Amino acid sequence: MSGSQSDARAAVVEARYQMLAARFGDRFDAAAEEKLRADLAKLVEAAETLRSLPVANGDEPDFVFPPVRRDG
Amino acid sequence: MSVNDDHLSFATIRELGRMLRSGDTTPTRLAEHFLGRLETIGPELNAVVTITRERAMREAQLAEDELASGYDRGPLHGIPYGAKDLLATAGIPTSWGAEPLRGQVFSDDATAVKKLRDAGAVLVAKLAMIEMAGGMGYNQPVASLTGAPRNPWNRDSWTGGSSSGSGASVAAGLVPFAIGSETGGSILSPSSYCGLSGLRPSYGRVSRHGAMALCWTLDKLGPMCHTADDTGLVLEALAGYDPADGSTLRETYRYEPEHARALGFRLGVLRQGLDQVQPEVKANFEAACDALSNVATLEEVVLPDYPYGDVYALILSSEGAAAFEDLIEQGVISGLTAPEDRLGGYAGTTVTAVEYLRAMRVRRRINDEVDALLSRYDAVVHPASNTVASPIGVNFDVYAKPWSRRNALTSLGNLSGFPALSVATGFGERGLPTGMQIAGRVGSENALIAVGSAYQQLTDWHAQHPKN
Repeated sequence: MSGSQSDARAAVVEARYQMLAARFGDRFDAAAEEKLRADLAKLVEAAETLRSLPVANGDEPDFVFPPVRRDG
Repeated sequence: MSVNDDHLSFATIRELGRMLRSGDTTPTRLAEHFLGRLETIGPELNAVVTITRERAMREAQLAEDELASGYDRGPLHGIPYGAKDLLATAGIPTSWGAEPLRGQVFSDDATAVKKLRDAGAVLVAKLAMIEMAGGMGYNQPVASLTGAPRNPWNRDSWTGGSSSGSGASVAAGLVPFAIGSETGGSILSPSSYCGLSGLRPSYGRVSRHGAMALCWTLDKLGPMCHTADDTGLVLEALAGYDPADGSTLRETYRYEPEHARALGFRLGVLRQGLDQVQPEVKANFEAACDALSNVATLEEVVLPDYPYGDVYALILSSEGAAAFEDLIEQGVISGLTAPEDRLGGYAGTTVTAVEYLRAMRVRRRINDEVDALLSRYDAVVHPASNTVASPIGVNFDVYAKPWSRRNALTSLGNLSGFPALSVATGFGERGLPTGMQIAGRVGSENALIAVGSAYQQLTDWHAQHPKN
């Protein structure tokens, strides 16, 4: 990973941690902050990996929206 | 019969059914027998949350009266069982394995419990589980309100999870069968670690209505038994379309062992990752393949190359965060037993919708390619778990360090929703069982059970039981 990619990932992780801190910050001590940053980094990296896989406009998500019409 | 009658304790559903119909025992005597074992041995293994004695004796008496009158509901009539404590049971606590939810009570039975009741099975216990079905990311066995679940084969080791109590209870002969659930290995892992036959059915085969949701598109319920054949008997009772769970399959499932093949199978053998499993696990798997070569042709297979773990992680973390949103928001998860579980749900709340949808789009591609692979075989075989059960007191990452914690076929199977049956293949270090998974296309449960039954005709690992 290049330095700029590494910086970008760190920035995303930091932004997401700040989202959590804004909502729940009073719950987290230093150890919790370290664990949460690690958890966030794993998910950010996973998302990056999937963005590197090509998908086309026609590749739909693996669920079907079932419109409802109740009997009666 | 005493509560130490090993034959009764470890009898299969079929054997117990014969005893009931021949008059060698009765449903109430069976219920008393297993209730006694649950009450004495269950707490030693941290396997039980609630013993449902009153309900059990009521259901057992009803079964007894019905059978005596000639009304036979089928193979499960009068057979005791345990339910993983994420299945709602009317008026009986359903804790989800979580200390803050110890007193949670629902007013109605889950569909799976109703179906077993309709089949005449007798609920004797709500069984221990890893809190929140492991969805908060536990990394060691002390992750339940009931304490560390102890493996009947070696009580200094854990059972596997999250269907920990289900695994321990069947293995120790406390119940003839149990219902577990799987999102990412929670039936296969305890089945493998405890030497059982455990079936993760196709996604949608069994209604999830009334079962705790961890991940709506990954969760499945399934039977954990002594034999592959018994899993078919239980699955037939559990399966079926449920309007309360829109994901359930409309096709009817019938277990028809009389029509099953006993040989002539075509099996794919997945050896990818075998360099990252314990030596005994690998050796026992290869021995199992040798045994299967008597009834099957075997051909090596390779999985399509995708980042299965990343797809799985994004889907599990975001759906789990949504499913437990209220508990996370209100801080209830701070009361969970494992320290890592008290923080495990937060990161998933930050996954974006676009990230989740990309994972679901890649998932569709994976599923199409995997189905094409599986369609060439009756089943594909691979170790069910990469190691034997780890010692209590040791983190999973630490124990698994020389090998890999993640089993590629288990991750893929849960992503794709295809079924897999775990069967015992022998023993590894510290006297603990090893297992093989027999996986196949969506809807192929009968083929998997046929392969498993053929294997269990050639071997006797499934018939071995721990000394209590």
